[in-house]
Amino acid sequence: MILNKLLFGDSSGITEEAIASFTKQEDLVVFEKAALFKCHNNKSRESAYKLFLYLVNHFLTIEEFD
Amino acid sequence: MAQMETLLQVVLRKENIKTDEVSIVSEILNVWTSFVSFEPSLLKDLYANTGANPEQPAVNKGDSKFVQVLIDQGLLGENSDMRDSFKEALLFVCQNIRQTSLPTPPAFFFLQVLLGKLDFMTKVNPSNTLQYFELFSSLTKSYFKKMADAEIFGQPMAKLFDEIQLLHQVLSLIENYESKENKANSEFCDNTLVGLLNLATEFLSGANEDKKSEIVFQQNQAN
Repeated sequence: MILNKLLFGDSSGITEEAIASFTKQEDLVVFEKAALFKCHNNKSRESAYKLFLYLVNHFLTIEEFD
Repeated sequence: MAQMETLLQVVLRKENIKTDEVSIVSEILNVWTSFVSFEPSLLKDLYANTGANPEQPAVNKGDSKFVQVLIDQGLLGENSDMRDSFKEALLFVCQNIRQTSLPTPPAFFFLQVLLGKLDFMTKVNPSNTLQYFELFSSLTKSYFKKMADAEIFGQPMAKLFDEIQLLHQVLSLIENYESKENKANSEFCDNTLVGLLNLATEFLSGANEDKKSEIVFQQNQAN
């Protein structure tokens, strides 16, 4: 659910605690905070999603998102 | 060189730069890029006092005056057209001069200079940071490409920096950065935030390329 909200740039109802529990990877938490609470423009959001994909690729396996 | 530095400083010192003055700066930069392309050893003046060599990569503490003009007053200046001119000129020099007689190629030298300004960038007005991050991103891309190519051809180069360490530095800057964007005005784009996010992606991409080229190199060795 959080991932869906991230993809649609909707931060409503998402708390920082929920984000922290989404993943234990600190770098991903940084991204999530950036995407949800700092990016409010399409260009910055696009950059955040791209970084997110690279972070996922670098630190996690797909199974961890199932 | 000294005359060009003086000319640039005279124009850049002005508070409101007019269109024709932007053209003057652009012409001065054209002359500078032509000179250094013809005679790359002129760049040694730029390297003076910066310690820009592989053994002593530290920069910024003692940047030469001309570097300060190029970066602080030009690339990060108040006028957008002016910043574009400086970005183009620096990119031209970095992409076209590969003189081995210099202590370090201009692309690596300026990459280190820009890297040294990274922490400071979060304090700069985000309206002035677009060209800095675009240049940084271009230089980082070509740096990683050169590193990967050198690795594949069995001639690995000394790293300028540890990309994972830098990634964490950038992520920490993003975490502590107060975005100027807000929900009420979603049209406004914070160039510093975008620049930092893109840089983090570049460093990650570089780290991944590094791994890939290592695997290719190992496979080539095994065959």
